[in-house]
Amino acid sequence: MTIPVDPFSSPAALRSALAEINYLADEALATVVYLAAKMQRPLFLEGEPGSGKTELAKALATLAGSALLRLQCYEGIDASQAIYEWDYARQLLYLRLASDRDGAALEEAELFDERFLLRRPLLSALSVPAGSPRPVLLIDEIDRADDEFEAFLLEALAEYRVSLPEFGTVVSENIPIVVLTSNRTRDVHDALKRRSLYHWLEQPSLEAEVAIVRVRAPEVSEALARRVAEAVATLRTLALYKPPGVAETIDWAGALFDLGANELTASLVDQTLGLVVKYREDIARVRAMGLEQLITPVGRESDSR
Amino acid sequence: MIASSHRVVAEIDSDPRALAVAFVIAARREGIALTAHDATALVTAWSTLDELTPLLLFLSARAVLAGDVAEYPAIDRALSSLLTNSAGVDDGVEEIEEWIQLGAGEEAASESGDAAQLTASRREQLGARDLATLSESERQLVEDALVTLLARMARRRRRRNHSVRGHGESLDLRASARGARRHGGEIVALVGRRRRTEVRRLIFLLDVSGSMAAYTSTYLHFIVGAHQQRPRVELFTLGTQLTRLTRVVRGHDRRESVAELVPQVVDWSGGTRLGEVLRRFNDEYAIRGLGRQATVVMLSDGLERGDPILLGEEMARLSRVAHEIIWVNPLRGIEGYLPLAGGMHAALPFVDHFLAGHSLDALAELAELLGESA
Repeated sequence: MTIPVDPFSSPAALRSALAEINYLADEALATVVYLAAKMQRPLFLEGEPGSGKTELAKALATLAGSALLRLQCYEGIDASQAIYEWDYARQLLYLRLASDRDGAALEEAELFDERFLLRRPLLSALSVPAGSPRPVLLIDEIDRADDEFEAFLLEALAEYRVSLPEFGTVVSENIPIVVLTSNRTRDVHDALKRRSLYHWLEQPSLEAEVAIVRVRAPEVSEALARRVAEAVATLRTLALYKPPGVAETIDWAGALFDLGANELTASLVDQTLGLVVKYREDIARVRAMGLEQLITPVGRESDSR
Repeated sequence: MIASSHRVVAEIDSDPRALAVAFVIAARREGIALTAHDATALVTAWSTLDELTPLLLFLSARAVLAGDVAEYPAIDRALSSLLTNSAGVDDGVEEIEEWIQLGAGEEAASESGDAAQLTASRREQLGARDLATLSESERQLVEDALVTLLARMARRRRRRNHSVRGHGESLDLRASARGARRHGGEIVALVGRRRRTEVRRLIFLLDVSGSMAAYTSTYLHFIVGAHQQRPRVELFTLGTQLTRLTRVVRGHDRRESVAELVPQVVDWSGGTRLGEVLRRFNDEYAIRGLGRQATVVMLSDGLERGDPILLGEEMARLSRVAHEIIWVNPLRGIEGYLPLAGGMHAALPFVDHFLAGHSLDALAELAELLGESA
């Protein structure tokens, strides 16, 4: 793929470059991503599940021409899983070999050599040499990690350096683009938010959602994409346990196309409802409301949200 | 759009620092905590942009200054007032306004004079006295007594979490290898690793409607005190709207924190639509993860102004993610009270513990329960 202008040269260029690889961003998102890349600050993304937070990081990696380094957070994650770990098994083998070969004392530095260093995503992102494509680091669902872990991150992301006690300090030569995502299950520490540029990803408008379906599932016709997006918009008003995100809209439209559908009908909805609504209680709720409510009568073009 | 003709944009060329400071001051006036560093960051942000349109100016300022989606309305207000007040900006403004969705003013549901007045129950002991009947000095005594009570709760938690040394669930290679280095590479002892026990999240949902006014202050003391004894305490107030006050709860001085909390409850003593507000809590926080495996304490008299069926539905949703739901209803302290009122009746099937919490003794019962669930 040839990208004529540097995608990171202006918000507008970034927006069209993202659109070219099928990620539709609005001006606000393009601006904040552009600034994060330019100002070398992490991007802190929040938004409804399925609003494209993770997808954005993947798209940015494609634009930068590098692989996406992904760190999925969970309760109890610590530095050895996020930053680095020593390969103890190999160290022990090496120790054993060395002492068998000659009884001479082993230099400690030999043991803490590059060879025995396991680079976890954060350290990998910081050790990309200058001149290579710019790395993209996704730190997914930071709110699932413990507070203490944020302190590690803050240290690494503030200066783009980490110090490994046995090894020395690794300073980044090629500052990564960092995307942090959160589902707001807890308040992330102020210092981390202050260090980052914040953005809330809105659920797209109807028009935007139709456009997204069209680029992500190009086989789906405009008319079908619109019916599906309208039905999903209705579903989102129902206070469901898990309202469908954009990802579900795309899946649903794709599945309907595979079934050979050109229009949304009550019986098609009946067969495929499980693709968009994923809890038994939610399905019961939608059925109780009546599946016909999800079908926009043909000929009634609605352009409201 | 010919941006360079606009005065604000032109101002950037002459003195970006001054404009950035003006932005920051405007946002601070709307209650967003910003510092000179933020102004500097804003100048840096603008300097990276080759071409500044009014929309870009606005979007970049929001990108740098906002720290949470809850701050968007205030920042938007501040920035748009600044932009529209500058003469010469016309074209860009409409575009900016499109971005700005000023928080639709929550209906100011005014409360008619049916605030529940509790009759004084003549009890000798302060501990058994209904909080609504205490004088100011008596209330302070009770609030201080809460601290001792909560400290007891914390001690119990520590004993429960005491873990035994020895082999764990999995092998800690790092520690084992560290030990081996001391013995010439021979692993002498295997070190185990045990899953750390985590204190359960404790979420207080405090009803701040008029009928609860006599209790809210003491409850706030209880909540702030609970936070000082254990981590992971969250506070939301339920009124005409939902407000997350966890940040304030985390202060160090109990009295100070409570004093700071009181004015933050915008709809203090307004009416309550428990069902609607609980639905927002479920949608925006609980289901998304905050409520999972948490202990939820609802402090409310259950006098629902809205639809009791909705309240029942939302309680059902909450009960599916939460570990347990404790409902503290001061009306229960009144002899002969039966939870027949629509809201309370609808909610009760999903409540694990139904407590009174109307007096110091009753709150001791709550502390006891929380100690067990920690």
